[in-house]
Amino acid sequence: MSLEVKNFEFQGSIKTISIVLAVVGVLALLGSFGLNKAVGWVDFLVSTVYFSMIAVSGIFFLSLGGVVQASWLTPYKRIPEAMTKFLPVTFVCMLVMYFGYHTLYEWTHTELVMNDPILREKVAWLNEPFFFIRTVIIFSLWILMAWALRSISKKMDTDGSEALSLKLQKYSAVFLIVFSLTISFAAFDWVMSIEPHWFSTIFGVYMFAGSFVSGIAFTTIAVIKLRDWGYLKGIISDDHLHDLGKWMFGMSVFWAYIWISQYLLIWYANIPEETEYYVLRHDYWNAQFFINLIINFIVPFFVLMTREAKRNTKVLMTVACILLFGHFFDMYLMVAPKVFHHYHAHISGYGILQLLQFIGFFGLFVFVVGRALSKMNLVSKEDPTLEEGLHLHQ
Amino acid sequence: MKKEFLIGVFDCDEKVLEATKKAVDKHFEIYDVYTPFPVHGLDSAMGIKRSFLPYVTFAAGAMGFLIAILFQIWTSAIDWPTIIGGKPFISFPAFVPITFEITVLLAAHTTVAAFLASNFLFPGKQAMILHPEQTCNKFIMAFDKTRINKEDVTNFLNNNGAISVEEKSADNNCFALIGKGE
Repeated sequence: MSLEVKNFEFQGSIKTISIVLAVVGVLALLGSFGLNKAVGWVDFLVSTVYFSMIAVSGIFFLSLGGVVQASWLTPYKRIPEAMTKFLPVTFVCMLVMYFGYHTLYEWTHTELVMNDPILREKVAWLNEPFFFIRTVIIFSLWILMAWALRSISKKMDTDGSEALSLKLQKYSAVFLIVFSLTISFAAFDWVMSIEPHWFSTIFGVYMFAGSFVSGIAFTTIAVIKLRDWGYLKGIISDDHLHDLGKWMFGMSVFWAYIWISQYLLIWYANIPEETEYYVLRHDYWNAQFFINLIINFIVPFFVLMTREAKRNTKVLMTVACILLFGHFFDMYLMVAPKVFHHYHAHISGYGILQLLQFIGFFGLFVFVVGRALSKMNLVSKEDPTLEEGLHLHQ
Repeated sequence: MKKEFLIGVFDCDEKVLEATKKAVDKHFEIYDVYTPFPVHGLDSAMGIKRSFLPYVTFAAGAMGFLIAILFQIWTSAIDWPTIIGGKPFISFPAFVPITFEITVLLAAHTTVAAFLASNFLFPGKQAMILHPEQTCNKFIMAFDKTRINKEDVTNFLNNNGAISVEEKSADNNCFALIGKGE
């Protein structure tokens, strides 16, 4: 098959803009730390976890495609592959987070834990050394899986043998299991343990739903932008965009489904140690609580409902940006209330600093992913599923 | 009512798709194209408009949503107010699962009913078989004889990959078709 593909070149204004944004983000983060160390660490944790989740959703996306030998994602599977290249960056951020444990996590205060019968029972799991080790293990597994998926895919540039596809399929099946376990532990550790009395068994799934929506949103933006810049010409059709639109629509509904599953049971049972999570948000963050639902469910649900909307790049772009921001907002709403409550500072509003450091992290993300993408072939030419993927029909 | 058809028989989906595009370009009025499996791009090549079914689904879903919400408000807060678990009479979180189910139920069932009704499909209906192999391995492009120039279309079909051109008559009155299969 003779397919002319121009490889992505990461240069020009996009490179400059992403570097400038990243610098602005670092300054904003320093500003947050200058304001208050709790604000700083909260901002840092929110962005780190959020962008780890986007990056790691690439592993899920690729494994899902690999295990069913899907063809619909093959023409643009290099984008999620490049996304996983951000994991080492967030790994470093998460190691730096070590110095913020004491600010963020109540259970690191030994005296407090010893006087609290519930926390005393949880010491076996929630202690600093084990927590740190788990973080390292989780990130190592993610980076390892991402590396394996990328290297198999790289071999498919030249080798279209059946054995390679079967290898990818086997690896993917294992990776899906490892992924689902690690993302649950990550969600429990990094976010849920901020409120150590509170627990929700669906929290890992909730985190996964959010991560997948934002991962798809970023992929959509990347695909549309690449096509605008003249790459992927004749490879990505409106049918591919339609597929991505359906993913965004479907996964937003899935996210809302998990959201209500968590809320409904806690609200119905009305047990104090479970309701404290929502009581805190209803008391001090009520407006944000409902804005979260509107931007992450109501807006994509109604805007992306029609076929025309899913095939319109402007609409897709807008919704993808809203969702990217929306799930950052959601992450902020999971982390901030308890930490601020702890410091008797109810900052129930979004500051310009938070927005800037989100945009800054996004710039860094674009920089790392763009550089990674420019070092790969934009399409894996010998991938056996490519031909079928190019002829996608709705 | 008997209808007279001119049919072109094709042995490959790509040929019938190509011929359909050309026929539409030449403004021949195609009655229908019968294929043993869905051929991608055929409906857009024939110029078939988008189905109205999505609007039916949305309307039925909105209906279901309203019915479910209003009925639950009526039963739990107006007709027989009961305190359950210390919650307010109108507790929207408690209504969500039922509202969701009724919305999906009504949307799905109405869509299927609208689909069957709009296509005159019902149990026992006989399919219109213009060619014995149209459900097996042949692709049939059918023209209503009264609406075309027979010679032009015959030539067109012969020149565009049809393996044979035949004349058939069939009963297209769906009610008369019951029990009269060939």
